[in-house]
Amino acid sequence: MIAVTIAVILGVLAGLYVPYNLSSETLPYVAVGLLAVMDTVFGGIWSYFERRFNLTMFVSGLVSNSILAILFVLMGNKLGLDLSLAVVVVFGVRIFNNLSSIRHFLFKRYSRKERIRARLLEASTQNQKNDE
Amino acid sequence: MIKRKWIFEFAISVLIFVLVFAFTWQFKGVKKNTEIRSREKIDKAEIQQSLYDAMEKNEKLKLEIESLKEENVVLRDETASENDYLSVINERLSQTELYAGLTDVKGKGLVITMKDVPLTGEMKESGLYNNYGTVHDINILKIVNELKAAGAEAISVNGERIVAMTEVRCVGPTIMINQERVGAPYEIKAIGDPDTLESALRMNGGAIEEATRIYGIAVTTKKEDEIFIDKYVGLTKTDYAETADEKGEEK
Repeated sequence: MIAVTIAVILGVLAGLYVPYNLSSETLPYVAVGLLAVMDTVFGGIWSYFERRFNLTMFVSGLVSNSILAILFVLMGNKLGLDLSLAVVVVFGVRIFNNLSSIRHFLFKRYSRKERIRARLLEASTQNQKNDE
Repeated sequence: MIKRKWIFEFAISVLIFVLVFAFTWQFKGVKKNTEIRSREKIDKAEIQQSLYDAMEKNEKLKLEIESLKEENVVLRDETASENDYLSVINERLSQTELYAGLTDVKGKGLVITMKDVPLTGEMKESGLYNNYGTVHDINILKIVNELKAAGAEAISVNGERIVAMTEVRCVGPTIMINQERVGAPYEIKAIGDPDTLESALRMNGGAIEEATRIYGIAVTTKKEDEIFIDKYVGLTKTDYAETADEKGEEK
């Protein structure tokens, strides 16, 4: 948690004091890359909660997603078609899905009612097993 | 398990750093771009305003030149009436001014109108004939030159008197004459013998035939008994040329 806070502060400072500005041509690429990074962050958090977080998968997913997103925008520019919309839609949907999964997970973990229900469920399956 | 947690936290922190950094950067870029755009808008309005101001000032100064010139003529006449020698000089001066285009003149002559002809049908769609049907400086120059050759004594294009150093030159969609922009349709007035002028222009392969058949412009001519042509109102100052009393030796 401390590391994340430090990362946020450093990020803001670096962004503010970066010496040169993005031109209007490069703005869409950065925006799309940003979406890819956001998707990876939420995906990573979700996979961590699911206890299947893997650094190799995480990094390779980040790289391939970013490259594909930027290639999409580039291709869109060359074809005269706004393909960045496709990237925005796909990443947007994925981000929302991941976020809702995280939300459900946290709700289950911290809500007392849910915890009791889970324990009851576990107990009933245990009973069933005992009966058998 | 702890190891995995550390890796996870490290990876997420790095990514969040990149994310926040890119966010801030992007914000800055977008903000700057919108600022530049709004500034451009303001600049445009200001420039337009100053252009209008300058044009207004220009008009006022022109009026002032007019009145000063008139005053000059009055003063000259007054002085001349007192002295015989001066009156002879004054007469010659008036003659020179008439010839140089510094006085309004009237007389019979020819009025030529040149109009742009919009392209239609295939010619427009092909995009190959963008210059066809548009009046260019060269068309006006040729007609003016022909008029001079046919003995025209005074010529004006859209009210701009043609004098010795008058230029006729394309500037974008308009034409520059006496440092003034004039636009289509162009009305060329020439004082001289109307029949001679017209036949000079209308001869086979002449200026009008070339303009209509090769350039696709609409040209009409009209003989008139009395035409008024304004005087030249531009600068008459010379910066480099001065009168030489004797012939310089050629090198």
